[in-house]
Amino acid sequence: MYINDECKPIKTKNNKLCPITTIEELHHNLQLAIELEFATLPTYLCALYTIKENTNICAYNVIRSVVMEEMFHLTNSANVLIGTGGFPALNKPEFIPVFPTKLPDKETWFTVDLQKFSPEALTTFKYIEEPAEIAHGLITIGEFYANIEQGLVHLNSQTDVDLFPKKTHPQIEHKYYYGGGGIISKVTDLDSALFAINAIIAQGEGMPTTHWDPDKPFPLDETTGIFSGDHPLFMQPRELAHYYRFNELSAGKRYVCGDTHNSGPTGPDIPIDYHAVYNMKPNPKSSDYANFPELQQMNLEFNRLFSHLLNQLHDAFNGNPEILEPAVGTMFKMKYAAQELMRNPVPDSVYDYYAGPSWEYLSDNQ
Amino acid sequence: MNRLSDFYRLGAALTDYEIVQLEGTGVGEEYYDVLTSLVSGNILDELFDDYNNLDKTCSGHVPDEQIRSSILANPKLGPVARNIIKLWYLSIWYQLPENWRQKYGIPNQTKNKYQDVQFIVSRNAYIQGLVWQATGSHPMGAKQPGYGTWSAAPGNQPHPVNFQ
Repeated sequence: MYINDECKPIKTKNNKLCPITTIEELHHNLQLAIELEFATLPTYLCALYTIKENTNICAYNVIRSVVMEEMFHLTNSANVLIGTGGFPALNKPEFIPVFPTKLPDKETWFTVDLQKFSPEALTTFKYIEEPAEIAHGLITIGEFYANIEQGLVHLNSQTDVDLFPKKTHPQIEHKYYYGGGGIISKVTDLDSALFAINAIIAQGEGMPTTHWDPDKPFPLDETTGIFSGDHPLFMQPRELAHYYRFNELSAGKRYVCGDTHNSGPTGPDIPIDYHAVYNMKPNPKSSDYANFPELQQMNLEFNRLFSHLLNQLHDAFNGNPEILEPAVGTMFKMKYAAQELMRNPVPDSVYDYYAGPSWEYLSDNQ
Repeated sequence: MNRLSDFYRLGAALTDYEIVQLEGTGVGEEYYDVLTSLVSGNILDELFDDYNNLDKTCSGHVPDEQIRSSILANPKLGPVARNIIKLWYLSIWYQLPENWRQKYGIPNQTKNKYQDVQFIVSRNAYIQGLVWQATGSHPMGAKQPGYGTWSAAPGNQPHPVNFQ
């Protein structure tokens, strides 16, 4: 993912991020981080849920593992925002992009669609997760987070800034957060804040390295930037960074010892069946169901669950962390509601499309 | 006439679920496959046609009493309709009654496919049975509802949706 001058919420100059010098700018960047992390989820989940039951097991698990980590990143960003005295905002329609979207960059060659699991979807996923090292001349999300880290360091050194105030809303702690891509930790000082942000960079883009060599084999040398930081950070099994996990799927092969970024994966085949997928209409809209009241009702039900989830997450991040527990229940309900929609053909569709959720936030009276 | 869509229409009437909810299980075609393997085409034609005629006469709103008297009380069609209800709710095919089998059973069942004995349609169908959502529960070992959700009352939805 890239950020450029047109990406209005972030200040840039000459295609470089402006340093963060005030607490307001820091909070603004962290709120944007939450929005960016969340914005990847509808895209990944649409591909994930169109996979038919008991098929494409490997692809299903890979996409799911990335989704889990995006939610972990979101929660980490929220904890840093809360820990520095800010207030995450999730309960508003603008929180969700309208698909297809430029997310968050305005490059014409890169649009994020909601689409079924397909080679095209994987290409988009790789754009989203492209490591900083191969994105020549563009500002990546990795750099966006590095800029936040520098901002934290700078603000922490200012004697007139109380960067980690004693009285803040409670953060999301490990007891509220289970099985989700990493171990959530409380942010109370510069070290814990940097740990949280670094976990995001490491999982998403691979461990950052100063002398990255795309021809250097791995895993003989773990600093090739291909591995995520899960092993040293959380004592989890070694995993590939998101870009490389998706690249394995699009190549239909595993990386093996001796492979490099440039060689791509050369190992055993990954069985993938793009036909065992529900043919969801790209970027579903409520208006697609205008003539089909039953589908319209089902989509509305999904959007109600989705809106309820955003309200629950908002509450969890603003004083009531225990609400995260029922919010996970809502996530499961959303999954089943989305799958029910996706199994329904859209009547009279020229392309034999199936339905899909439109991911809209509904205010209370809708 | 597309018999699979007839199967969904009749299923919706028999289960009181919407067609989109039945399609949403993703296993309707499996059920249809079971049904057409074990019940002769003539009987299914009669069943679907009878319902379609009722539907036409009643302008799309067939009263329950009509379904009871015309279909469920019919000695030939009733047991099949009851098996369709059980398929959707429980994902189990129950052996048809002895007297029905004597009269209408088809002996030439496909070898190694389905037999008219009690069985669970498939491991995925088991998960998709309507009984789980009808009781506000979930299939044991699948469709996990999230940690601690068992402390909430069944059916405790944020905004209950009322399908027409």
